[in-house]
Amino acid sequence: MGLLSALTRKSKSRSSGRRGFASAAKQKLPIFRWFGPSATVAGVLAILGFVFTGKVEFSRLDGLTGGIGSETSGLGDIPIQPVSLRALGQKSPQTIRIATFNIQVFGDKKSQDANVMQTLAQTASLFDVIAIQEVRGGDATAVDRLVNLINRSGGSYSSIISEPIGRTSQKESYAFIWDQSRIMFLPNSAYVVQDTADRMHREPMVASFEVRTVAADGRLPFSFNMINAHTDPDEVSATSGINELDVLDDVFVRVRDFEYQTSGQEDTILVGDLNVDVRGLSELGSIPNVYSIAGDLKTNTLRTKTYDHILIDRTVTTEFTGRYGVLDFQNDFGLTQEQAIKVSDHQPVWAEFSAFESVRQPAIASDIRADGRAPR
Amino acid sequence: MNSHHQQSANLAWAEGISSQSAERCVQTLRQIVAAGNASGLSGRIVALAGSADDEVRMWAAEALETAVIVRTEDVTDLVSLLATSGDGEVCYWAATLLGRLGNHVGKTAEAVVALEHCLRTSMYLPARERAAWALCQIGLAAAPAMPTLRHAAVDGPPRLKRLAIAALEAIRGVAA
Repeated sequence: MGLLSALTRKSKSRSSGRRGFASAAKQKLPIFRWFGPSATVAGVLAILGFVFTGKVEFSRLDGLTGGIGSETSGLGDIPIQPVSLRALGQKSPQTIRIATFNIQVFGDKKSQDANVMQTLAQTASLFDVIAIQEVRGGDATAVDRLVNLINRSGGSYSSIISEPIGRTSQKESYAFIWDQSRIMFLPNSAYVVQDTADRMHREPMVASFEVRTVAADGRLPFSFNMINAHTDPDEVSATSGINELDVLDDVFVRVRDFEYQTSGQEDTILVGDLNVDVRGLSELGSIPNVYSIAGDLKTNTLRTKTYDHILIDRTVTTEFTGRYGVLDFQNDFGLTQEQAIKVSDHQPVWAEFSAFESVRQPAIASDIRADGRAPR
Repeated sequence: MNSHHQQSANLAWAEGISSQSAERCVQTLRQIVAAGNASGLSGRIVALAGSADDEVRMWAAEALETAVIVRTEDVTDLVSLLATSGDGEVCYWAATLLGRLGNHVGKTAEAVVALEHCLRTSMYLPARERAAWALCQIGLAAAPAMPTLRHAAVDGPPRLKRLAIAALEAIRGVAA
């Protein structure tokens, strides 16, 4: 298993103060943060190491990781059926929808095309949080235009964008946009995974969100962190000697553990254009209980291939309602194939979650593992 | 798309990407990306990855990442680009496409010489890395590049080292 190593902490704590959404929207990455090991003891060692050296060498902590979520849930199969968004209708106060969307070469030129932008705005406004891949041009122009268009149409969206990422001159940024009336971006929660060993062409971006709602029946608003990823199609083959899906499993586990240790955040959702179907998920697909919600549904606009996924740990993120799908914007918005392809060669994959945290069953003695933590 | 239509489209695309007009070039590259299955145009599109026009370069890279199908007939063009182009991005993509062919590369000796040259001399690290990766994909037939790979495996930056070691293992027949 390939491990990201030597991740250097460079960020402020999330508790350093909340900013208004306007400033959050303009906040630019990098906001590098370290993310940590799975065991609490390991976390303490990491912090001590950081205090003395200014660095966290995760490779030294590898022996303390693993085993997370290997227990079976006992929840039974979640009733999962793809649902047309038209059938879903209006946004509900009880649920939220998140989506991942590779808006192919989303830069200055594309964001000046009124028809394309109309479709993108219509699409985005159906969701509460959208993780976007392939933002081009090195700045937030295209994303700002999209958010402005949604907001001019009565929406209240905000965005955050990563620095341009990539090994070659053809860099791209990740972005998240979210409906501020329903979702809160947790200030200082965004960062790009630091990958000093250069194991990924485009290191993923992470951000955390919480549903804006009032606690009901003792249930808190659903909060979650999202890992936004875009793999290099030449580096996802099991036989090529380098496979980014064998790195993304480490990213998932370490982000989840870091968020759990620093903010108590349990729910990690990995989304993005992974350039593989379920069989190609490799080590990412082998994390116990982690699975692709939409599975092998075709996600390209021509409906011939599976590239895009939303992955959760089924034993942890029990807020997933079982409703998901691929938005066929070509048919749903009455576009020709030529018009649809101008929007993107990908279609958004989405999933619905409860607006409230699930009630967790208290751990019993036999569930406590050797590392002292109860299985989640 | 049937073969007749594919042939007609290829002819039109070949003309489009040879145009002096950057706008037409971009338009054609976008058509290729939309179609998702351009073959026989690899060398020309790789050359466009080094265009002076930002938009052309961007769409050429997009086409190469998502739509170009490389064939053994393209190897001569790709080898020539690797040997003669001073543009790092062009070499990066030429090496990538040769790597995609792997041990089906055909003119293996020429390909290995060109990749070894790129690995040894390129000033552009991503191109050197892709050259090492491509040699790994070629495997046993890339044996003449072993001295340069060994050098990269010792003195190269971390990622290049890993790729060079993987290539050496592939050449020796060790599972990567």
